[in-house]
Amino acid sequence: MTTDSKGSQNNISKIPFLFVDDEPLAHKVIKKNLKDWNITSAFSGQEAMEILETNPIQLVVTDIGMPGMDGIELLQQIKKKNPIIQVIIVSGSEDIADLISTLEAGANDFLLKPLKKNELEDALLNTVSKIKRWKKTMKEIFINKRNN
Amino acid sequence: MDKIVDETELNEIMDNDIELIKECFNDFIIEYPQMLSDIKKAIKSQDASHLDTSAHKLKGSLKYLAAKAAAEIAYQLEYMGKNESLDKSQDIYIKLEIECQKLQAFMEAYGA
Repeated sequence: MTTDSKGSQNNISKIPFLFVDDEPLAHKVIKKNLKDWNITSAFSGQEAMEILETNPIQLVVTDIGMPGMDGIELLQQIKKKNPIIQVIIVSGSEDIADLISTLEAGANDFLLKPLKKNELEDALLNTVSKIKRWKKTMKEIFINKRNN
Repeated sequence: MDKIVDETELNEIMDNDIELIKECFNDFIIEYPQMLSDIKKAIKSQDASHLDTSAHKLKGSLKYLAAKAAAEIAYQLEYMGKNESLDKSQDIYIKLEIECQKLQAFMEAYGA
């Protein structure tokens, strides 16, 4: 990685994301591994929706298999509420059909369990970079419209 | 046959953080007897839904600890619960209990 991309990586790291998993061990590992990220934790789909109601979070990483509201239902509810929020699905299944189903349901990316630091960080950086690009484009469109 | 713990994968998951590994091992040693007990109760009461959720929970922890053999057995129980087919669940449960005991011994030898 070049110095420039490392610099931009540090800036990107400051964007908060919501991590949703019913497994406490997963939260412990993620928080230790991604110390420079601003992580909000939710232990159920319901809790995640409550957090998203009151916090301007644009990136969610969620497990699929949770009791109550599972990751797919959470994904659908998030997309219904605000389709701009980017959702990375974490699945324990190695069945390709399951992974395709998550994309069909609107997931922006998927990762296999257990999460590994490098894979998760790559997925986060790619997604945050996309959000930043969209914001920049939208701002340009807004300014152009205002000036015309 | 899977190793008790795949240490290469464990180090990858925990980013080579020995203290984090020991902390997670300690947590598991404290928490897994209750998780096994939940699975046992589900089998005893033939509660497929509870077997599904309780085995899923244990499997989640085992996967983060790279305990592949035990995670696979927990998955078999979860699958039985999902499919409401509990016929062989008691036999599989005994295998899981043995595998968790081996896992605890491994963790204690590691320094947890």
